[in-house]
Amino acid sequence: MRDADSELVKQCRSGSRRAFETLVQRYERPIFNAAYRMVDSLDDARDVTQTVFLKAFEKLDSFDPHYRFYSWIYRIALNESINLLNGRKHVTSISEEQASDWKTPEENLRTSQVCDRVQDALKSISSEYRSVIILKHFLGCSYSDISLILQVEEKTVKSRLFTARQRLREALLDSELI
Amino acid sequence: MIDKRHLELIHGEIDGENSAEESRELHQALDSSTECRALYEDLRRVSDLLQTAKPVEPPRQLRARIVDALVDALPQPQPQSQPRPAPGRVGRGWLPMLTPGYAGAFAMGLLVAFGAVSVQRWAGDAELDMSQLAGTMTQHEAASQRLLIDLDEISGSVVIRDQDPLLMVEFDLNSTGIVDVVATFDGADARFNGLAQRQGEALAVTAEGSKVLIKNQGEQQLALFLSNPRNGAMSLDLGFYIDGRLIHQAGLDYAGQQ
Repeated sequence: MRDADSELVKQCRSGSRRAFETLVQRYERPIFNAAYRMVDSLDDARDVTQTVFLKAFEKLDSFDPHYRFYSWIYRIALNESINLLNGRKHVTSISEEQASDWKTPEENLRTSQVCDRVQDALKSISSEYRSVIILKHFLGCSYSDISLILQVEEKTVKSRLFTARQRLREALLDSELI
Repeated sequence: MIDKRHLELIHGEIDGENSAEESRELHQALDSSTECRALYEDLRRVSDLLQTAKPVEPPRQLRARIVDALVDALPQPQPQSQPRPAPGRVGRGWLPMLTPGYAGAFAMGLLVAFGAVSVQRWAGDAELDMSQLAGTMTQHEAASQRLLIDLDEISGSVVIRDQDPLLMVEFDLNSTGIVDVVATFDGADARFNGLAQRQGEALAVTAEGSKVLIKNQGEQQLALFLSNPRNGAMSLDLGFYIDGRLIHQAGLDYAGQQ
C-alpha cells in the first residue's frame, strides 16, 4: 500500500481531492497515535495531527518522490510534537475530566492501570529516546526507516534504541511492572 | 558484564532485525549466560508491555476537519478541455431522473457539488446556464458526514451534504473492476429524488424504494438526491459487492436539522 503513496502524492499535486483524502485516511491513525505517545494529551495530539497534514500538504512540492512518503510525514509528526513539547512550560497529563470527554467505555478499558503506567514510563524518558521507541514499537519502522526519518545513521538509531529501552526498563522496574 | 556483540544481538532480536544466523548465535549465548538471559527477558517484557498500549482512536470528526481545512489549500485542477454541452441538451453523462418540483434545488446541488456547468432546466423550455450563478453560490458547504473507502477493489469517498430541502449523497469512487454499490437510506421523510453524474459512465443505476444500486467501474462521480422536506435524521447503509459477494459494509448518518 505504501508503494502507492507516491502516486497519490502526484495526484495531490495536481489537485486531486480524492488522493488527498486517501492519504489522510491512511495516515491519520498512526500520526494521531504517535503524537499522543509523544505529547501525552489527546487534545494536543488532535491539533498536532491536523497541523502535520496541513504542513505536509503545504510543502508537498518539496517532497522528494525518491523517498517514502510515510517517512517524510512521520518526521513532520515528530517535529511538530517536539515543537509542542518545547513550547509547553509544564508537561501535564490529561485531566480526568478531559479524558471522560474522549473515551468510550471500551477506551476506558484500554487505558487500564498497566497501560497508564506504560504511558507514564514513556513520558519519563526524554523526547529523543521517546521518538525512537514510538517509531519502532508503535509505528513498526525498521532501523533503516528510523534512520531516514530522524536523519541519523543506523548505528545511531541502534544506540538510541538501546539506551531508550534501558531507560524505559528502569522506569517500568520503578513502577513494578517488570 | 554483557559484551557489546551480545547486547546488539539482544536488541536486534527484539526488533526483529536479526538474521537467522544472528538469532542462532544469540540463543547460544542465552543458553550459556544467565546475565544475558535475564536482560533479554526484561527487554522482551518491556517490548510486550509496549504492545499492551493499544492504539488510541482519533476523534471521529478529525478526518473531516483535516479534509475540509485542506480542500481549500489544494491546487486547482487543470481545466479540462471537454466541450460544454450544446444548448438545449442535458450534458453528457447526466442521468435526468428528477422530479420537477425540485429542479431548482437540484441544479443548485449540482453547482455546489460539481462546479459550474450548463444544464437544462427540467420543467421549462428555456436553458438555464448555471455558470452565470457561480459567483453567488457557496462552493464549500460543511460536509454532514464523510466516508472514506480505501480498499484494493474500490477507493474514494461518499459524502452526505445538506442542500436544504434536499440531501445530496456524493459518490466519488474508483474501482478496478465492476463493484456493485448498494445504498439503502432510512429516514422518516427521505425519498429518492434524482441522480446526476459528472464523471464516468455508470454501467447501471437502479432505484427501488429506499434502495439504490450503482454499478461502478473505473472513476465515477455521482450524486444521489433525496428529498427530505422536514430535514429529519437519516441513515445510509452502504454495501459493496463483487459478483454478489459482500466485500465491504459501511454507514453514514445525517443528524437532521433540529
